[in-house]
Amino acid sequence: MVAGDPGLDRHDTGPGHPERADRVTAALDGIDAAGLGDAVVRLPPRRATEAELARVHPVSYLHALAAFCEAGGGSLDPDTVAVPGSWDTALLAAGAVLGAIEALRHGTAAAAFVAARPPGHHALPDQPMGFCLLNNVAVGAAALAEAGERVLVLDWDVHHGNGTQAAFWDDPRVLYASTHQSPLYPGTGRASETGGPAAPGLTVNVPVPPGATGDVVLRAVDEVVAPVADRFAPTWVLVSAGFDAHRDDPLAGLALAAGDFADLTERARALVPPGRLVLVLEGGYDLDALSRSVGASAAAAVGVRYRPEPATSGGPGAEAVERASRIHRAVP
Amino acid sequence: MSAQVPGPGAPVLVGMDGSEGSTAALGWAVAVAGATGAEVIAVHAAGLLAHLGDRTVPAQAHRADLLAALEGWVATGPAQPAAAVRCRLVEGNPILGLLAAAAEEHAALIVVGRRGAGGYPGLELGSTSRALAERAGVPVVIIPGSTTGPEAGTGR
Repeated sequence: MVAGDPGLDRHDTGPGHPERADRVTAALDGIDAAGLGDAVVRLPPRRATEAELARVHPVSYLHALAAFCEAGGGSLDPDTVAVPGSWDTALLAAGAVLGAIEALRHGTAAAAFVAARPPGHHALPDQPMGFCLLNNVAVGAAALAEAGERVLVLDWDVHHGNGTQAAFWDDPRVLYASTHQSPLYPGTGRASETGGPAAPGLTVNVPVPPGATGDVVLRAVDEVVAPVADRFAPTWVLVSAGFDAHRDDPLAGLALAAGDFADLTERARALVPPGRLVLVLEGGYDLDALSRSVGASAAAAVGVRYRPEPATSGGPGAEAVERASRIHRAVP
Repeated sequence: MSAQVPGPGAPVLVGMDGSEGSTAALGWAVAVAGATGAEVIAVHAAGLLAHLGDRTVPAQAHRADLLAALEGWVATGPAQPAAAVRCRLVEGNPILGLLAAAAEEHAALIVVGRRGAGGYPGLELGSTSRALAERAGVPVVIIPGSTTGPEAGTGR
């Protein structure tokens, strides 16, 4: 199932901005190219309600952001811009995650891919940043947690999802696990950041150096994330599916290819029963790389092998993975 | 958060983005630090993007250019620096980057211009300076600047 509708996108970031509407079109083109045919069901997005967003974001923040957009918008930080249409587009992006979860709960599909923007994982509860206005994946995870589910948020975007980590830092209902390049924006996500007192070990960070390849990121998932996930026993997996760890991406320096995202998706798929996996688009700024990577990932989500590029190996980062593993083995 | 008492000679941190306000902040910091012998640390937060000239470019690929820009802002700031000024790039948005740098450097105080370094023009979430004042564990000095100048020298 694919959620998202680029026809409703009115979040215009202006000329030259890499986080642009064409990204969603490229993602959808990639899914079409994967040849999944009837396996793909399109789910029109709905708007998230204030009550749904308020599980993550203070109402005062929501009102301020909506008013800012309505007043014409502008720069929110040196990276992040909003225009009058941004608020509605952000509601649709967060709502697309919620709609996908609802559809899966009703047995509509085996997995969902949310192709919507703006991305969300940098958005703090009370602050937009890093192209993000509302934390879409956090809104979905919070809804599931409130319904009694145990949620793993697996974030393989090349940047650390500081907003998602902050939202669930001390929440034992949600396991947040991130692989990301370090050093890199936003500067958070050290391996030593392992969760608050009520959720010890339920934040997992595996920072890897520039040049790291897919085998290193897979090791991070297999050797660091998976043991924690096994103990946590998630009932749902939401993936912050950024594709800017691709070697062609202009904003970072990892060296993954489309086949690696297929491997990562297969790992995520194996952690929960069918119908409990939602992939949510985050970053990915080279349109061709994004298209290939999304296609490979969406195919893997439904058990189809489609790899327009082979997986990669041989890059640095093994020591970083081993260090994160040691840290998490020592968490009580 | 309660304010921490900085040690004697603890550095003065200045948020810099090339705006008129941040240049004024640097001048104030240099004057104060010069009187106490403290070091001034000029900090620029490297976000996801940067404006270099009229180009919007990925900040990470141009870290050397960003550091050179910061050094240029400092060099063309106060005419006669009375205190040593060290330049430093940090990762993240201006608010979080300045807070992290202040903690790591054990800064005595943070100085910023009222305009610049991003901010939320017209948004009641508060500006960079207001957010810093609310969150910092050390005193924050906000230097009035032009209300008609550019929002930031870098960033969109």
